[in-house]
Amino acid sequence: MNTATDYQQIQQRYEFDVYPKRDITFVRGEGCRVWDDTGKEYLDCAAGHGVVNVGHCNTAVVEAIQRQAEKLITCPGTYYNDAKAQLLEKLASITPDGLNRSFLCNSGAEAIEAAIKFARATTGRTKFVCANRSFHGRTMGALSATFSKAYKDSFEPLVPGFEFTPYNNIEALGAAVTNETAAVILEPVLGEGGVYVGDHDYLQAARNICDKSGALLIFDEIQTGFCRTGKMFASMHAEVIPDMMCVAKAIAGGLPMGAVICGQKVEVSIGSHGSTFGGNPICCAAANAAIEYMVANKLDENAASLGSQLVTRLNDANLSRVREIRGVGLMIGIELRTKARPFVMQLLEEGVITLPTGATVIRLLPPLTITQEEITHLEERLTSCFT
Amino acid sequence: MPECVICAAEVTVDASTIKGELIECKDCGTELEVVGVDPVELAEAPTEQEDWGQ
Repeated sequence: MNTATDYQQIQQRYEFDVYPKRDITFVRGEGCRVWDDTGKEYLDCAAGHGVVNVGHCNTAVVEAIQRQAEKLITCPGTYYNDAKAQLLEKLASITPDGLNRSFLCNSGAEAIEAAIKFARATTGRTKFVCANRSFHGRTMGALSATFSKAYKDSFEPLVPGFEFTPYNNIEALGAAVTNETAAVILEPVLGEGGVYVGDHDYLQAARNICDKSGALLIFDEIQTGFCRTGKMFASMHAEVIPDMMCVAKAIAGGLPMGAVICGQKVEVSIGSHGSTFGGNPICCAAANAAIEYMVANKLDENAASLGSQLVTRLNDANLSRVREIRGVGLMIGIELRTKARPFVMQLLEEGVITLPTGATVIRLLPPLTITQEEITHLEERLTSCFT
Repeated sequence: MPECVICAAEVTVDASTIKGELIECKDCGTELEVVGVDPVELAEAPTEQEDWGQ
């Protein structure tokens, strides 16, 4: 039988690795906790990069997967399917009015990729305006819409026609969008870019600018969606309805799934796009269970109240190492005065998983099922670390 | 007032700054590290090589 060290050696030998590795092998998860192969318990405030909003191994999701696995695992997009139909109806019911037709795929990057193609096909235009500090994914189209050169340098040339303007700068956005712009692509809250919350005026202005120029408005709600920010979708705070909303991460309770939820303006011809695994019955069943759980357990309200409480208490603690705390709901960025990574490693050692973003920001994306007791524990660890 | 080591713009540094503090130059966006505090001395911050990205 393999030991934990063996698993690490096997991965080191056979994985074509693109991630730096920590010397930890995770083997189990439940709710907001994960355990490594030595039995050490961690409070997971990364949630697989914001994936398990309903908690690790959520019972409702697990049971839905088990039931569906015994019925039908795969079904091509050319045929109808009960689990898929239920999910499409559910997505239309939780998104703003007018967003009622979804293309289902397997990831956030795929959703962005599809949205770029849909915008080109709908408008006949090829230019896109995105934001400084944006992150939309690592496939060639999504990477072209991503700001940071660090992600792009090795892969140039990318898709042409992408321009970037400062986030929350209405004037710059207005100047960049022309009658050649196919779409504006924005995150309502910049995640990987450092957790910067979009001003409501900025997001509303983006809607108006797009309407005047004939461009489409695409919101990337991949990280912000599904109750993360205290509402089902972050753009609901600003009451702005995009033409396409890209979602993924938390949609299926931890299984890989993405979607582009489209408004009436968006049109592409049948046969012009597709996905072999997109909308497969197992992921649809998991997503149905995850969304039902989010709604029934009011995870939006839990994210809003516990996120606000945590930020207030951390601010009140006047932590000497902290420059600023930003965020909304349980999407929180703690900007430090010095490098974040040593503190990420210290917290990991103490059994708290967090994420660095940029050089100085620690990002918190815990499962939205996190309890008062767990939030208090997190607050104590952070306060101790940053004092 | 200390200057950006890249573009020579003046950089505002808080009096309570600490060694290792990272500050972004408002003019050119370069990330600067406080490598001395008395007097304040700035250097271009080393680029983080590790990507934990999503």
